[in-house]
Amino acid sequence: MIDQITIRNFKSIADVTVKLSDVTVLVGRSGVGKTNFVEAIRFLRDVLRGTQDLHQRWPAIRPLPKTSKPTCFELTFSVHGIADAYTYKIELVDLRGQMQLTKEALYLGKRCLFDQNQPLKLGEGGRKIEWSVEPALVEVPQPGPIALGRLPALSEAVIAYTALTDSIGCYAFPGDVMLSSPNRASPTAGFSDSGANHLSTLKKIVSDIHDLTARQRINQNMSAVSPGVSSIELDRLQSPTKGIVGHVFNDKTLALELSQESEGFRRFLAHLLALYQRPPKILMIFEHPEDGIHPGALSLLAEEFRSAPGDRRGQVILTTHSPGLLDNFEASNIRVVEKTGFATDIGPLAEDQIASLREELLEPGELLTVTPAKIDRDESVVPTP
Amino acid sequence: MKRIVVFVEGDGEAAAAPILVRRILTEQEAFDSVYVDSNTFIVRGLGNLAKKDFQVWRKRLAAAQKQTNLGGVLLLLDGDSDLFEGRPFCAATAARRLAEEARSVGAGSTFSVACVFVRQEYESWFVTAIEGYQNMPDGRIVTVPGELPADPENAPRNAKAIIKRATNIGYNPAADQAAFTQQLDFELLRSAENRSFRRLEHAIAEIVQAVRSEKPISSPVSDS
Repeated sequence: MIDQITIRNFKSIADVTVKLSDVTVLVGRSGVGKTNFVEAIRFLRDVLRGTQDLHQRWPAIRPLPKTSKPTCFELTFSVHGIADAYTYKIELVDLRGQMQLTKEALYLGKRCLFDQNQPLKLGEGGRKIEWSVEPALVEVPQPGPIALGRLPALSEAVIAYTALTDSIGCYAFPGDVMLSSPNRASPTAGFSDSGANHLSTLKKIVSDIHDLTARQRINQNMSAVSPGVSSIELDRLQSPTKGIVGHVFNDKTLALELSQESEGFRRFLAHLLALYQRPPKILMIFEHPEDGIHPGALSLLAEEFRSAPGDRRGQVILTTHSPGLLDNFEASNIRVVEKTGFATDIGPLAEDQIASLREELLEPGELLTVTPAKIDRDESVVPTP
Repeated sequence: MKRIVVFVEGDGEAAAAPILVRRILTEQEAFDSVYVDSNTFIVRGLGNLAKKDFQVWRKRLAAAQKQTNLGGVLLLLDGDSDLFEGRPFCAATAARRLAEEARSVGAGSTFSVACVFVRQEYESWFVTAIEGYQNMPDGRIVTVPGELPADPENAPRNAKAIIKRATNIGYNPAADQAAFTQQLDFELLRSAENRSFRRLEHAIAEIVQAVRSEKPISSPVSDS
């Protein structure tokens, strides 16, 4: 679980620190920076993965107005089975349009596993990165490139790397999710961000006969979304080419291809595949999960989001504009995203709004309709008229 | 400094009403005592507030009371309902009824409430003052129609359509109401003896006076 994340100089985010809950719901008007926050986490994950298109993406993630300040990330996170929390810090600067690492450190509790940085400010010719704390290896690798992911003999570092790469899913499912069935294997581990590898994800779920819970939960949910649905299966287990949805009529089951189902049905199922994938993610981010889904099914989906962390299926971050979805969460889950000038700010809900929710004077969804959710700020400074 | 929270009907008013109230407060030189909270409450129409024997109205007021330094709540709604409590709608009666209900949650004792209905709708003010929109700063062109209702306050509800037809790029309340409010010519409204605008100015002055004197009000007061 990621407990806290600090992001600096990433698009509209100048400097924010966000404490995350098991389930965190980001609310705010369009254009205030909710997606930039999600994009920042996705970018960090992809930087660590060494994704191919990073250098093309780099100029677009730098803040406006332009600044020479580095883009920084600092995360505190924990992994089940390890007592101490990890802290990972990374700092990237723009060097003539190219992304360059200037600082990186990993801590487990108070113990520094490695720390590399540029000792002085970057000069004309550039200065080399040096280890200020070397990783505890006989043969220490050269400093310079990102170290997390280059230390296969250090389990603690490998676990941290896995937590921040393959264990994070950033989902924004398109309207045509699961319409096509690509044969090629997805290069990403787990359910991919777009849901393109839904067949291999479903295969891992339905082939696990030691624990039928995931399969049963998915079937029950889809039956509630679309009465009559009895099963979600694959056409063949070894080399699946399509998903099959069973519909029961008069005690007989009609098999329909998944691509024949509605957009709302497929989008709902895509969220369930993310939530029940094997192995589970540490963090799943869902952007506007309400899109295309019937309002009556939102409480069902919300319950799945809420139950995932407790079932060790991963922490959840949502962005939403849906009052119906927000109604299912508590004040402690809500983080408000606002924009002051060019800069995005993210913080917990204002005290008066928390009190109104506690006393049921407002429903959570009314923070999107009646009175806009606002960040808890020191109001001793009276705004000028 | 005390906070004035504005309750309005829809998204357009949520953007426009704080501008309107700030302009009036500026004329009344009241910024030594109050400021307008930019977080308006969108409470939908009178019918919504009156639900469950005015429970929704009382809840919204109680939610507003959670904010620090609350001086007053200004309710600004369209006065275009047909019926209210089973009788033909009367703005004065409905406002008095709401003010009365507000007292049960502390209005008039710990904070102030003033209820105002615009006849027929917010855009009726734009129609009344349409001659003042000749030089909109954003370049849009507003042409005064050949025929206008003689008394927009009592004409059938049609003000949005009139403004839409008169403006070269049309009119969308959610997007344009604030810009029209910024340019609203108060003198034209006053010279037309627009009663609901006069009531709004009076209501705001009442809240300001209540804050200054530390004697909260719930306005308008019942006859009985």
